[in-house]
Amino acid sequence: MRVAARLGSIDALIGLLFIALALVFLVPALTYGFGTMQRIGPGFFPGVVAILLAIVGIGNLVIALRQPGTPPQAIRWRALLPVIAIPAFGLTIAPLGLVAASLITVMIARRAERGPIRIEEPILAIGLALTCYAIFVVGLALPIRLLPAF
Amino acid sequence: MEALFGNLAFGFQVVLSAENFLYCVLGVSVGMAIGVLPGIGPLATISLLLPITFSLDPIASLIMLAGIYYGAMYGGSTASILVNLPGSAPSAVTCLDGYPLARQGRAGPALLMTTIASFVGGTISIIILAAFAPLLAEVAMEFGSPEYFALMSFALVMSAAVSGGSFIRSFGMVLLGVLVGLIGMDVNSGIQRFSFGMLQLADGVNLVIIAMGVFGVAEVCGRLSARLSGLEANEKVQHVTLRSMAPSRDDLSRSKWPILRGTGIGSILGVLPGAGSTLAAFLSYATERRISKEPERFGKGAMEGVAAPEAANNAAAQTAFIPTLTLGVPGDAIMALMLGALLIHGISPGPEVMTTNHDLFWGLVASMWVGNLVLLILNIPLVAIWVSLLRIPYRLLYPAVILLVCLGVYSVKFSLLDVFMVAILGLFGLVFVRLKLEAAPLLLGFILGPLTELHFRRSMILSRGSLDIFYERPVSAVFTTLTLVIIVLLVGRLIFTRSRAVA
Repeated sequence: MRVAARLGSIDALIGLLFIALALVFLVPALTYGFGTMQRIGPGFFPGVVAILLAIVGIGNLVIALRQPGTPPQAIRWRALLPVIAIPAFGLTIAPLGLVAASLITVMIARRAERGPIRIEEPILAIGLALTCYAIFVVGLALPIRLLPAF
Repeated sequence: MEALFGNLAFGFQVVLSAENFLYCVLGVSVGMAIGVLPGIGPLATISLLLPITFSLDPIASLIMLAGIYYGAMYGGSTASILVNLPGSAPSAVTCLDGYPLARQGRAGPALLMTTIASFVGGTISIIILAAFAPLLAEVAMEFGSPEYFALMSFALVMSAAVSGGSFIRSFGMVLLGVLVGLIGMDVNSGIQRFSFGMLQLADGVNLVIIAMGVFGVAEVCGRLSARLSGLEANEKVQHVTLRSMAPSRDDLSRSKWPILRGTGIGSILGVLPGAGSTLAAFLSYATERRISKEPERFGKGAMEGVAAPEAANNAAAQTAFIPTLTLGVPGDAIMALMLGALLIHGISPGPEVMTTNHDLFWGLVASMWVGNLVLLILNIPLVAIWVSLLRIPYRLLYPAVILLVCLGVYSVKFSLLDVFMVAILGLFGLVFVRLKLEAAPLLLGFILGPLTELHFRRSMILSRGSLDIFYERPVSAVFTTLTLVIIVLLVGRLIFTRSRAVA
């Protein structure tokens, strides 16, 4: 009936998320050993907290299924491009240095906005790279290269 | 009393050393500059700047972080008043009357009143902090594990109860935070917990990665998504000149008592674990509206509706350091970050901090007043600069935030995996934003989780496995009872109202 539609509401999704995450922690916690009340084992506390989280999740789910709710706002996939830019930075910083990593990160992140590549992007990237160089390398003496090693 | 002034004088000596003073001014101005940027709240600001403070010595680092904190809070109120974009829950209260004032062309006086209110609130609450922290520390000397367990449980439940969203959602986030906090090696048994075969998770998830992923990355993606859907229009920012800031005599006389009442409310609520500046701002606003002779003015540009919550949240921000430093029990997510920063420096807060880290404690207290003074001096003449920062277009701002996240996380351990993890946590954070889940309780749970477990285990050893121990001692009995009462009341209310709605 309407149950399927209600499963897409915010409360139902929260319930499902909590239950899933509770299981991710509960299953390994069961193997760590509960110990006794005198000597609490490493599995006891996380086990109890995970069970509480599952109960909270089930509570949310039950509430959600009893009444109509609103679905969450859709995520625009384009808005995820800044997240893609982060591993790109990680992969380029060590071999290529700060300027190149900054160029790549900023250019990928900027694609989250519609429209053509603009000249301000590389200017912004290089400006940011130099500012970060001043803070992290000159100021904090961290071993980060500005330019590629070769 | 004499000891109080002696301690404060010592504190001023510490903070007025050239180096510490520099970091105080630096923290305040950088915090202000980043906090004023639209959509970047104090939590995101502190998260972004946290790695920069790691290489400093503990005192300088904490002084700078505290400066960043109130700088960012002040910057947040500026943004709330001028463009109606609150970066945090307390500044959402400032928006209620601050933005209408700005629409009436009275942004200048509103900004000046927030500066004065913050300064007064800060100054009074610092004296309270200096007077009460040693007393609390003395009481806390007697605390054992059962007391700490009860206090921490109370703080965790309270943070969910006051987080603004629904209690059950925020409570779930607290629990999730506790679980994430337990990732890594268990100190008692040496077992690797929840490391899922990854060696890098042995010492747990890094605080910086959680904070940056959930507050920095998620905030950027969430706002971009809203912009792409055309939900967010660009707001025009007014010009504010120094001359326009002069308040009228009416503004001053209206705000005088609200500022003092706000300070009182804020100072008390700041000390309570879990309450923090959000509740202080909301409650002082509600109080002023209730006792006002013209409550209808509120929401339409009442100066006291700006002054009272600003005084309250700034006062609460200072007194919140009392439980954080003397008990090691932070009241909200920002204090959890401060506590995390202290732990990273190898200082574990507790009643001993005041004696073993005398200079750190009193230096920090004095630095707060110096920081507030610097804010007062920086703010008023430089108002045009802060306002112009608000005009930076978002398309230039968010790539800078992303780059700062990347470099900040990378700078901690130069680990590629850390950089990947911040991206993954950013995705989780975005899911939380979309499901309207508050991330702040998660951070508090993350910091308090391992400590709560530690004290629970110790209590059980002390009592030979009997839960009665939490009721046999007065302090822990009070907090255990309060915790249970809050849970029963809130869950009960939830079930009751829902079932009525269905019927």
